Amino acid sequence: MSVNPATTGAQPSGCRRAVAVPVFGSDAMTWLAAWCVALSLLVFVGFLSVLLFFAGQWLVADAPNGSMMTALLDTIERLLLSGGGNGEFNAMLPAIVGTSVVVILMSVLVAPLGVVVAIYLCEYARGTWYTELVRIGMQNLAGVPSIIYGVFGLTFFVYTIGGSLDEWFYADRLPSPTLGSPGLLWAAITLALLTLPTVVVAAEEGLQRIPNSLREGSYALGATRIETIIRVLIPAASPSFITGIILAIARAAGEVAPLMLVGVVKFAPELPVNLQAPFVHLEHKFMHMGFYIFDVANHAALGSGRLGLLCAASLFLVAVILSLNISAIVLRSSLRRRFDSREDI
Amino acid sequence: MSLLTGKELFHYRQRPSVNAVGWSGSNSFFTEDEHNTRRHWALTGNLDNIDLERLFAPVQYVNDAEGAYVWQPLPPALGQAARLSITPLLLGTLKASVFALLLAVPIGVGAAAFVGYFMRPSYRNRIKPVIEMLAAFPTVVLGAVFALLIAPYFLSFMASWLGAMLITPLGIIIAATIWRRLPSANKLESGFSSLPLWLLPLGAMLLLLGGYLGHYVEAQWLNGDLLATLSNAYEFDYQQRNALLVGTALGIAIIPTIFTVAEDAINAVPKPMASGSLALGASQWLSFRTIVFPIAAPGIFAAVLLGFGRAVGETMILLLLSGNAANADWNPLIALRSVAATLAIEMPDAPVEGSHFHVLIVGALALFAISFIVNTLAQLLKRRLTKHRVYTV
Repeated sequence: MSVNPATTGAQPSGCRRAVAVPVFGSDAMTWLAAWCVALSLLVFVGFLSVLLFFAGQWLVADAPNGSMMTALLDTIERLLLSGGGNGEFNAMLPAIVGTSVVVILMSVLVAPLGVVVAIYLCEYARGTWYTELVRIGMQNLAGVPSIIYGVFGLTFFVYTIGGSLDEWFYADRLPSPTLGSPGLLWAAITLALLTLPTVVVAAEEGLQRIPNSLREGSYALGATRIETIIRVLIPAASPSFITGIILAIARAAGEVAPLMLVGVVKFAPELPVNLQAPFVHLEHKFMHMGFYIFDVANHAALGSGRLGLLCAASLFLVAVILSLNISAIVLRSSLRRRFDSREDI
Repeated sequence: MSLLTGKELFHYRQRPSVNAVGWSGSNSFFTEDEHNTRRHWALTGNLDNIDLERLFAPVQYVNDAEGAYVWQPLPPALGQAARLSITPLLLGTLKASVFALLLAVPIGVGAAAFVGYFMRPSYRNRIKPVIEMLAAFPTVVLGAVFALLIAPYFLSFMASWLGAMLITPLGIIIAATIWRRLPSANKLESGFSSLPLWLLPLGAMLLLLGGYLGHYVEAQWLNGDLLATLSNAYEFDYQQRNALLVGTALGIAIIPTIFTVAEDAINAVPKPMASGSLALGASQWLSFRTIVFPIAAPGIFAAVLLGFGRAVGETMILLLLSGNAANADWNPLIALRSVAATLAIEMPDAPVEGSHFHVLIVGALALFAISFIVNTLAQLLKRRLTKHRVYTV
């Protein structure tokens, strides 16, 4: 707080005055930096409240006579089964089912692959130069725009692999493509590729946090490396694997751009899962929540109900994604606490 | 016979038996002999004649006075080929990203500085995941809400928007200066980490005040319409879907990316280095600016690069907000079309063997190359920072 008269007096005018005013936190720049934090939070909270407000307003808007609760349930039922507004827009349920199916398929594909890659990098190839290379590559892969994955999925999976599969197995149906056109399978594989770095990074972090004493103890008891991995390391690090998969699901559920190239449609006449064998139809196109939102935003004819429908759909997607992320954060921090409290890291 | 640009693609020598020749499609023509029998001929090969010059340099098309950058994948008329100049798309991507960075870098780095350096760890651990959560926010929701709620009013609120942008930082600086003069200023010390919370009402008020002032100035001196007045005076176009709008939404989307990486870099600077300068009498801000910031600078630059990489590849926001008109122009108030949005719209419908598809692949490769270079550079910078930290502590 105090200004040293000796220094200020001796210096020529125009020198930096900030040196002489060491007041904690009173600097304008600090306040500006603090305002940046506040602004970021304000945007976040503002966005959520806008979604909540318009969605809520729309959901209880045309309450006939009954209570608010019945009106709400009514609207939700109508929204899910017969479509938004007064039924002039596609129902949301197929989009929810489509998103779930593609995400589940993706996790089935990405989980084993990601975990195996992480175990290899961490347990077998630790500290080698190509591990570093793979790691840089992985982080690079995580930064590649998602639309590029879509382009890759379309040209490589759909046209190249799908086209060949069609020639080999579905030659009788050609020229109309079966697997050679965008569909559920290719979308799931593309998303799996997109989320692979997420899973690998999270799983690797979990494996690195396991103290070496655990491995050494297992070896001392005569276990081989593979036994150690299966019996000791995988159970110990499994929360981090689950964290990775949850984060992957959260990322995949919000992605729309790559799916526009590999299989999502505005309106699919039937669900990708139904009671006809083989139950999951890998070659079908499907609907997706993110694309549904995009479609509503582009659907000018929907009129005044559009904003409410959009906010309701967005709120649903955001709630799912945010809760997935929160659970991943909680899980990760519990894992950190479990091993960080030990002395022998 | 020149097809498009004055370049001779193939040579047709008329036979005496042929009476008439004409185009019957973009790559087929017919001939008529003396018996009025028509024969159709199809042309194969690289008729669109795509080369680097056509992709990147201005092309002078038939009937045009001068060369231009045109993206028109559907042929404008029979007998003409698609106009596939990729420059307007790349320029659109670049323009949107630059405006996004203009918004996101100050806010992201400022927030990172506060959380990483000034804030108590207990607060930091709570606030960081919240801002990181913004990164998980689906961009399609951001774009859609912007498209419906903000885009229609963006132009009419331009003055208020500019006023708020100008007044808020100014007001905060003034408030900080006043606070320093107050005798009770050191009360703040105890609640310092919660400064953002205290600033929330002040900032919100300043935003409203700035907005109102902007509106007032517009109504008083600018005939009630800032843009119309300015565009009359300086002759520029403006459209509802424009680069500024896209930049705002895109900026919000990349703030968390920039924040996270920059915060990691700032927080990684060893505390004793700053403590030394504090002990010599420097203020917190001074020791941040002169000690911590230079050490963290490579990491902050990496954060900006990663933010740029994310902005370049973002698709849904651009698809919803950019207007998707391929203008090769730096005017921030007209529509643009980005590479990523073009890929999302046109790729599924482009015939696999056509030059349109191949040009789209070129666009995808360009995007990939940009993101690859930017990411690798950022990784190397981050790595250097970690090394630095190991040797100095």
